[in-house]
Amino acid sequence: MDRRRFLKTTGSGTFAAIGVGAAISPLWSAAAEKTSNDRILVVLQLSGGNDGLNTIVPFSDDAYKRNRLTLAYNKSNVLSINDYLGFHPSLGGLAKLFEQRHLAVIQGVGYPNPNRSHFESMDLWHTAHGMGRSTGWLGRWCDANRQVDAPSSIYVGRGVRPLALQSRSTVPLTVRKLDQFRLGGQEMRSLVEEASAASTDDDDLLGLVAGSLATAAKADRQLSEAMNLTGEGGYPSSGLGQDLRTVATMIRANMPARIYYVTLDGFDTHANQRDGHAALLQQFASSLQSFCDDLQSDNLLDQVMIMSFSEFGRRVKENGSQGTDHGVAGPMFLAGGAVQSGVVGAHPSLTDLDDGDLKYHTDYRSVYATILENWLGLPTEATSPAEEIIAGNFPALPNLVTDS
Amino acid sequence: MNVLTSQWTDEEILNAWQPWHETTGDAAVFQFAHAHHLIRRAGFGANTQRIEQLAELGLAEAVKSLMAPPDAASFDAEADAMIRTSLVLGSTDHLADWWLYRMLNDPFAVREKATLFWHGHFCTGRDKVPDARLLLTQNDLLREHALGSFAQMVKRVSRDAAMLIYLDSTENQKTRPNENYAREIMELFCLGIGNYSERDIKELARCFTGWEVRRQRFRFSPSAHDTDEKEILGSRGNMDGDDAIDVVLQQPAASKHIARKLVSFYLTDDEVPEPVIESLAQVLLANQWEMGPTLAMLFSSQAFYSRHAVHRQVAGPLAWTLSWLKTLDVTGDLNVLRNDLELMGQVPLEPPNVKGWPGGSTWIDPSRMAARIAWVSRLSNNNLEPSNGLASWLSSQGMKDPASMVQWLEESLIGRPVSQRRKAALVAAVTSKSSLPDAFRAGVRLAGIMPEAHVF
Repeated sequence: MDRRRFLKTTGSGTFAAIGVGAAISPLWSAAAEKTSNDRILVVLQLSGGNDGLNTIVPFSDDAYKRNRLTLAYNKSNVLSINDYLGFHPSLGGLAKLFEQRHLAVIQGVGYPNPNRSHFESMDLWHTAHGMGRSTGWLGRWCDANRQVDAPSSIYVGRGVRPLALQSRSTVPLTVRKLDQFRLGGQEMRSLVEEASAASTDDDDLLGLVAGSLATAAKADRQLSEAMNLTGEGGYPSSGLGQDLRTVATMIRANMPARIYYVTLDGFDTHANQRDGHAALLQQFASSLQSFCDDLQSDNLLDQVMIMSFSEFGRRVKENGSQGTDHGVAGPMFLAGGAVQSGVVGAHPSLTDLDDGDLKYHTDYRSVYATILENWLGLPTEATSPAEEIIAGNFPALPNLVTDS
Repeated sequence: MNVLTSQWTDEEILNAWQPWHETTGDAAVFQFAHAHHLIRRAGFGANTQRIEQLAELGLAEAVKSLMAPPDAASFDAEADAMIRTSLVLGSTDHLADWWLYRMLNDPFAVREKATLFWHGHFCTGRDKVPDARLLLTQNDLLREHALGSFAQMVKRVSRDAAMLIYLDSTENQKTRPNENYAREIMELFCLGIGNYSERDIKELARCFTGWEVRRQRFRFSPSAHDTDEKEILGSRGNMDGDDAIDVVLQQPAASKHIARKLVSFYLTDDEVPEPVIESLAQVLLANQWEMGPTLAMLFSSQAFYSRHAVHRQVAGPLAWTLSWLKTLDVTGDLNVLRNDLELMGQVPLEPPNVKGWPGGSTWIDPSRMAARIAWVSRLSNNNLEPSNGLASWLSSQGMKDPASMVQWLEESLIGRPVSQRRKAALVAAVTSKSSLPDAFRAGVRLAGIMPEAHVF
């Protein structure tokens, strides 16, 4: 038998666009490289239900002191915003960002008919669409924009990829550590560069693979430079600190993702809340501040917005275990160079309650609409753009993003 | 409509599913390269001895032997015993590793590949169903029906606890019909978007009322079932779920939907002309939805060996890594492989969403290519030790000098000619080493980062 032959496949000499490639944009195809002034969203999820009352503290409210007999902070502990509100003592990083005019605090965020199950409430925040949807709000944004500039998203962490990123047209990437982009040294990178150099013999599919290999080599080079530039110092050694450091490195290496997602877990503080909650807030604030400082040092902060949220707040009255149980409304934070700094909305009343819970006044989907319309941007041909992504008409909040 | 349609000649379209003629002229004789293409697409690749054996058999006998391997039953028993033992530990990791083991070693590779196809069709992810027993039950179900009747499979899947949990369809009362499962039957499993109305979904959901999961098992609750008349896709009657599935599968869109998915899994990443899909749909119907004869026909068809299929598919992570391991006669550590596959974007039991792996260009996202580069780099450094030692294995493969080694790498491992410049690089890499095993390691590493290696 003569096996010294290959199948002839290239009879026609011309090659058409491949069907799948036309329908689905890979992250980072050569044609879809992010332009350097594209805006980036970083979502920072505080999992477990953060106690909003002890985050942005209404320290001078008598009802606060009455309801938080063991957990209350007073004027001398908090980092005052005004004579009613202050940051939790461990939120020095946020206070600094606020002082630098890079932080907006949105108070009283929630949604109607609140669900107190962690899982179900988190699903609502992720899908922005009621239960049972298989895509998330940010995934649908990618779907709506893929014709335009093939955006994609990256989850940095060790858990399950968040539903918020789930998309029908793009595959979000999970990054556990940057090593997964590294090719194992200079020699290997050179080999890849050599093997991936375009050849006139390549058809469209081979061209696609060669292009991807070349981009992988380029990413390896860019990341190795960016990793040197992203200093060890400043970032806390905690999980969130390191995850945000990874995000900063990828932004610096001009990775094409428009959305990054990180999480900090542990906010389900039913018992002995004080020390544990303080440590979490400390990790949250110092990591976020390091991240913003790092980006600012390279003039990158103007193109990045960080949004933090938690699936719900906690009840106004502390429980018998020096902790707090699942509640409803809470504050959200937006940080970044283009954020209009300040406190948005009134603190929900501590006396006009809904069955022991704060009443929300701002629907979380209005915050999403703000980000979609005024930050990430929507395809111009869409008629009621944000509505298609976050079921229902939720008006964007005015004056949260500075026009640049 | 698209450029490619015009590139199929009328004759190619007309004869797409006609038998490929082995004997019409020298150029069409079934050769090593044909057998290589066949076993990489129909199964998970093979070592050179097996590929040569298939080539000697000729196409008809080769397909026959793939569709009914003699040692399948004993392997089934062995594999079954293996998973029952490790299920005690309850981890879905073991289940995923066990399935990798099967894909790599099961003599009935055609059935295993088809099981993977159906896993990507009837997706269930272990993130949402972290129960190894339920997932094994579903995996066995898919394997049992992989080459059987699709109609039967849809009915069984509709009673599969893992599937119903995955699709949030464990509760389904006639007062509150759950539309999720009905929607996916229409949209993903049987018809495709555009072939039904929202009202059809609502009506179909009524047929499935009372189909529920209790204590991790499927249960039919007659009192929860809606016994009134329904109207689906123009058919009226007091239908239950099985009746409704029959109605759905009678739609012309159904056989075309499955035909299109078969073509994209087994043949090509390209769009193919509609008449080619339609004639495959006719074959499916003529075979009464039996997948075995349909696939046997597909593996023997002109389209399968045509320029529209050969080297027109980006190899997925499983297809690529497993066929390389098999051709290299090594197994590697499946637990480690699973971690690498995760970075490459395809782990068994972890489809990205209910639509399954989109494949094509999404396989070769640069970070995923980086994972392939890292894998082949480690494989060539640490894991190229066939059981009888690398040096004697190389000689058994006829690699006795750099020239024969380069030829082996190109023909058997990459499976297609590489560009002249890349071939020169391959020659340089192999000749730069003083021993044959070292030369082979360098050659495998370089071969793995050539674009040609990733397009089957």
